[in-house]
Amino acid sequence: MIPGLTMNEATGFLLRIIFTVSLYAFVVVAFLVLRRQLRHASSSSGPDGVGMQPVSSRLILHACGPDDGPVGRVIDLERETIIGRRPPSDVLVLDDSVSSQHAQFVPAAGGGWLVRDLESTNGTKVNDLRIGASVRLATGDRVEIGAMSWRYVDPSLPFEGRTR
Amino acid sequence: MMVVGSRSLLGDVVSRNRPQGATRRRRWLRPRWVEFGLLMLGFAPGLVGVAVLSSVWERSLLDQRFWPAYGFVIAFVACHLVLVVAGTRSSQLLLPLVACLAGIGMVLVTRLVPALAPRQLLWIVLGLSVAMTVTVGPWETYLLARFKYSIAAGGIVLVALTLVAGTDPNGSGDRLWLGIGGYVFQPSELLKVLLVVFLAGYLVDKRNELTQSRARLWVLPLPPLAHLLPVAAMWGFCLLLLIVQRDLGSALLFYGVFLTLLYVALGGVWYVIVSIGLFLGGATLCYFVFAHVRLRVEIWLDPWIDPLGRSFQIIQAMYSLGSGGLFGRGFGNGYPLYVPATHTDYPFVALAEEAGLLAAVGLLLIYAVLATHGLSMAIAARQPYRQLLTTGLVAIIVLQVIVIVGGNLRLIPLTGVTLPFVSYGGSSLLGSFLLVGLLLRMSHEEQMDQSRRDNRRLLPEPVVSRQASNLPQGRVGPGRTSGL
Repeated sequence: MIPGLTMNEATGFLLRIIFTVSLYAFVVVAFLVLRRQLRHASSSSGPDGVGMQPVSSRLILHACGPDDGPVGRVIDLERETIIGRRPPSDVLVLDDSVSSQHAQFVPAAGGGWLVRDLESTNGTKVNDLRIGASVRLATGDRVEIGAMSWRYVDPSLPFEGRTR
Repeated sequence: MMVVGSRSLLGDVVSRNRPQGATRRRRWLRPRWVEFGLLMLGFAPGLVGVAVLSSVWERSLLDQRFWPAYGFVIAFVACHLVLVVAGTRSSQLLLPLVACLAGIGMVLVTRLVPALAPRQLLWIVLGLSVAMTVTVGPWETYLLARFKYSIAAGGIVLVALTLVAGTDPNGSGDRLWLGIGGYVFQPSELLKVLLVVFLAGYLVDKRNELTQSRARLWVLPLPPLAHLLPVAAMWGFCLLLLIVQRDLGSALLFYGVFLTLLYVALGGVWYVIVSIGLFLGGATLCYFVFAHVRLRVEIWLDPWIDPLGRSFQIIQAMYSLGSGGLFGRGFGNGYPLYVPATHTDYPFVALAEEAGLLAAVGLLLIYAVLATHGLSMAIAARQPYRQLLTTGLVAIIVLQVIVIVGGNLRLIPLTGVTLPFVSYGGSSLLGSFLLVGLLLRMSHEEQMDQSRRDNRRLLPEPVVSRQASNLPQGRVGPGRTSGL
């Protein structure tokens, strides 16, 4: 026992120490869990090594139905991106002609982007032609998703000025 | 031509587009051991606090006074079980953090005003039920973005009601509450969550117009004025709240959250500078025009002008804070009750006196972990709306802590903001738990989306070259097909 303290005071003192220790134990463990999650998240962002892309290509909306807009909306392609009307699509749009998960943009091996139709009802078109499997995009290509029309721009590839 | 078949908004196409199998069907019973373990650890400070009280008060641990504290443990375990049974995949860190905070709050209320502890428990249970409904309910957060205007209107109507039918249950002179059958509710606590829900939706929608503008005023890029209107409306609303409701704390909080969201969504430093300028202007104006604001500032700068009157609370709080020491006097041994309204206005000071500096810092560390976790969730979120909503909700908690702890420590003038999850107060708890529910919900949806995406990530399929897909040859630039 600590000298000069009654039994009750000693328990009180001990309990106060325990209070502080338990509080800090919780903080430390919570912090460790958080750190593990953060590490996990940063290491798993690209499971097959194509998660991130240094050069940001973009899609620019240049025609759409009345529900969406405004024309000029920009999507920066940074990771795999799904356009559709409902989650888990990454870019949500409102137009009824777009399927829930309509089209997916995937980084291509060796740079650039592929577009892939996800069995959508109305299909995906690149420069007016309906695509079957994945198609690699070039700067200036027009990607039609339902009634929406997007222009693909890749800053690392020059615009050819021949599309419209 | 494209064919747009007639179908309902959530038509059968949904099922066709989903990958076959597991993901769409809900999986029940998903163990959450990390959460369970952390919860057990998180209960410890609260329960040890109860033990301290029982030894100081010389009452048995089973005394009626301590029942609410045990009830609180049961409530959180029940929540954990609900999450497990419903098979949610939300963050496992959030609930334990909140439980630890609420546990400390529960001990403080039990110690300060034992008669109010059952009520505190009641509000915690209500708040947790709301949070669980939000988390496991059959809905999705993007609906919030769609109905943002209705939500904002609803929140403002609630606050406007206090102007008409407000009551003042504790005689503070401000009619900020709505009474329903003996219970009172402060709508501004709910409004802060609704506001973030609205602002996040609005800013995601209008982000492009607000950032990509050509008009300029000298060096300031000027967004289209029509889109600035809601921003101005927001500023006016905060000011109105301050003037009519005399609710300094809420006004400060709303404006801070609004500023945070504006900066995060638009990334323009000019918005922030202009907004801070507006704030400083408004604050100075209020100081000179409104006596109650001036009083707050004056007793903050020099409490000794009226130590037994208007600044009695501040001075008592300083003494209380100073007498705590490193380990505190122990729950039940101090004199935090000399500070008027400790359980709502000065819980941080009461903790610092009775559990010491170490516990007070520990409490702040818990908030820090909570904030870091929340912001990392926001960064990991893949939809702008969820990102902004998460950021905004975290900002509410962080700003509240800064404003009230700063006030308690006399770093800034004291305002009537609560310490989230710790202060006594039903509306505040309800609002905070609603916020936690939304965070849990969003982390759940994020995980679900992630797993659906993983399912969708098929084996690399052969890429059809542009020739094969009948695209005009002329489009293909030199050397670009060779990459595949």
